[in-house]
Amino acid sequence: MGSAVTAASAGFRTAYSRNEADLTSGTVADGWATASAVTRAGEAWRAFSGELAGQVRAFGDGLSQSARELAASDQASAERVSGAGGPR
Amino acid sequence: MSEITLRMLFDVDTAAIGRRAEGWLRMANSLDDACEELIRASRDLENVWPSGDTAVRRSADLRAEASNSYPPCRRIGDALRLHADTLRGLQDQVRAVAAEASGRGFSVDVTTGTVQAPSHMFTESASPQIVAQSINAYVNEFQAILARAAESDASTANTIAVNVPDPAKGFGTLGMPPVSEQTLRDQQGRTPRQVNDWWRSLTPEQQERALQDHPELVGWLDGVPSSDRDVANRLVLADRKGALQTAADQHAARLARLLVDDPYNEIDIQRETEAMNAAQDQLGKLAEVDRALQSLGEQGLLLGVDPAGDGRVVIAVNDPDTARHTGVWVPGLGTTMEGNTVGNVERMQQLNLAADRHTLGEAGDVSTVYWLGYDAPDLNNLSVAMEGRSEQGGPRYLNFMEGMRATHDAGPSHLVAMGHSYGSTVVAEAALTKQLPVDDILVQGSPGMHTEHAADLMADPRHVWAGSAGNDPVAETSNVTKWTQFAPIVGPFIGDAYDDGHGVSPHEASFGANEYRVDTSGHTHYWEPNSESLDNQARVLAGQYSFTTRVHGDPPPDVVP
Repeated sequence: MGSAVTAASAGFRTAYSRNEADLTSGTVADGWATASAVTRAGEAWRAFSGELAGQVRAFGDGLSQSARELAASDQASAERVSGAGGPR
Repeated sequence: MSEITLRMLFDVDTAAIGRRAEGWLRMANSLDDACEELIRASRDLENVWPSGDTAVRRSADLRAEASNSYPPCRRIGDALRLHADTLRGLQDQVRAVAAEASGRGFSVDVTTGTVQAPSHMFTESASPQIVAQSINAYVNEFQAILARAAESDASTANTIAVNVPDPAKGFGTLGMPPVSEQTLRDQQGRTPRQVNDWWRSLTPEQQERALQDHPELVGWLDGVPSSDRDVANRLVLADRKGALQTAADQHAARLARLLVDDPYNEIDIQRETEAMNAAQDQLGKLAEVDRALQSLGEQGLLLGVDPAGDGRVVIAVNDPDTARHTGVWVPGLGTTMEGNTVGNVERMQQLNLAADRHTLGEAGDVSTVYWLGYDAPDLNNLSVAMEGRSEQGGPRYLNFMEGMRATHDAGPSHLVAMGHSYGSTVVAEAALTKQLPVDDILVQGSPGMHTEHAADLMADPRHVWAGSAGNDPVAETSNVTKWTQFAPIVGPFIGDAYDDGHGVSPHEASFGANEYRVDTSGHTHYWEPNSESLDNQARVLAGQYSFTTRVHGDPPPDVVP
């Protein structure tokens, strides 16, 4: 599950990067409020999508790490039980 | 409000604004896809890690924040698209006003908005003040146009500004309110296009909650995308199987106790036996659906399931929302969920494979849908000779097909209505409304389509296709009266009694449809692999009309791949 969540994080980053060329114009049309607003929006959304992708990736990595730790803990417990119950 | 001049309005590149709009809308769709991937990936976290409260909360926060980003991104795209359209319209208006003024002899400079009259116009006019008033009127028109441009600019800029994420909090982790059952029920009375608009306005998290909380409502809602309907209906399938199995086990256990403890209590024994059998009957129907889905693997989408009565089920082979060519097939008499789902889905697989060979695109660009969304006539009564079942099924089929149009992605879509036997009368009932949004109608073994003319079904009857095996007893019944009328006295009565009551069979030349060649035998073999019968259907479904083999009729131009 953790790796699937980590993989999903890429979608948030590429949502912006793949469309970047069309989101804001290269030349701002002087005098139009829309042109400057969309330029500011593009910058804010680039930062947001990168931040969101980072959070999702960190969450996925955390889930994977927790799963590994739980598995290791289970294994250690099993080995302790096995060792305690074995021939003396 | 910004100061907009005619020069600015003239110079603004509306196509570039349109491209920006599409860019923002594509980003919104990408965010939607990413949210769905995140939701799918983390959906079972609570189950696999019941003690992981912190992780579950963090997952919910992330899903909410990600989901909250989709609507504002889409609003920016929608606002820019509207702005581009508005400015394009205003540019046209400026040109129209200028052309009219020039036509009346005025001199117009559209870059400055000045309008002048030549001196002779004042001297030759009986009322020079009327000339001056005309100039003022044109200037006022230009100013009104500029005011609307400035208003659109300010409104769009404002929409963009309020849909920018907060640098610290983004769009917050407070989820949007869940969709209520009543809201979902209200959608049932709306058109599939309206349903689709509403569904797309929800955040991915709201959609997910609606799927999880009310799958039985979402699963049958035409206008909801096929992939979401599939998730909902598979939940319904699993839930119903679980509930029915529990009920069957409980009735079996009670029955066992009764037989031991109270063996002469015939009433209770009969009641428990009937209840157990009823649950097992429904389980049998759902098991058939399971088998059909298993045979399709990842290709299969469950677009509707309901085991009540004879059962209703809709299964797609490949996603109709992304396919280039989609055919939706209605089965005919005697069809039940338990008896025919696997076999009919196999027919759709065969047709899909055959059609896919005729398309130039990648595998998966053809979708075939098995649609048992109506109560097909039974074999043991006269319902097959009546129009009641098709009159019930027609509106449902029409709604489903409108849903297919509403949920298809932006790419080209060739949609074909298909029906076998009595199923062709369901297609006919939908087509006779003149609202069926399809490119072709394709039928096999049809007893008649409630009209004498293909042109009543499609504006261009070349897009109506019928096939019939010479020894198909259903499709050939409309000929019975033709021959029996010559028998003295009793002939017409025999003919009327045997006739099916659905009108002339559509493969008859007088009907005006194309009759494609059939090389299979009887009423139920039109989908035999490698047969001419199947291949001709596949050609129509793939829009390769000119490659069909025909008994009569003229094919329309092929669909460009």
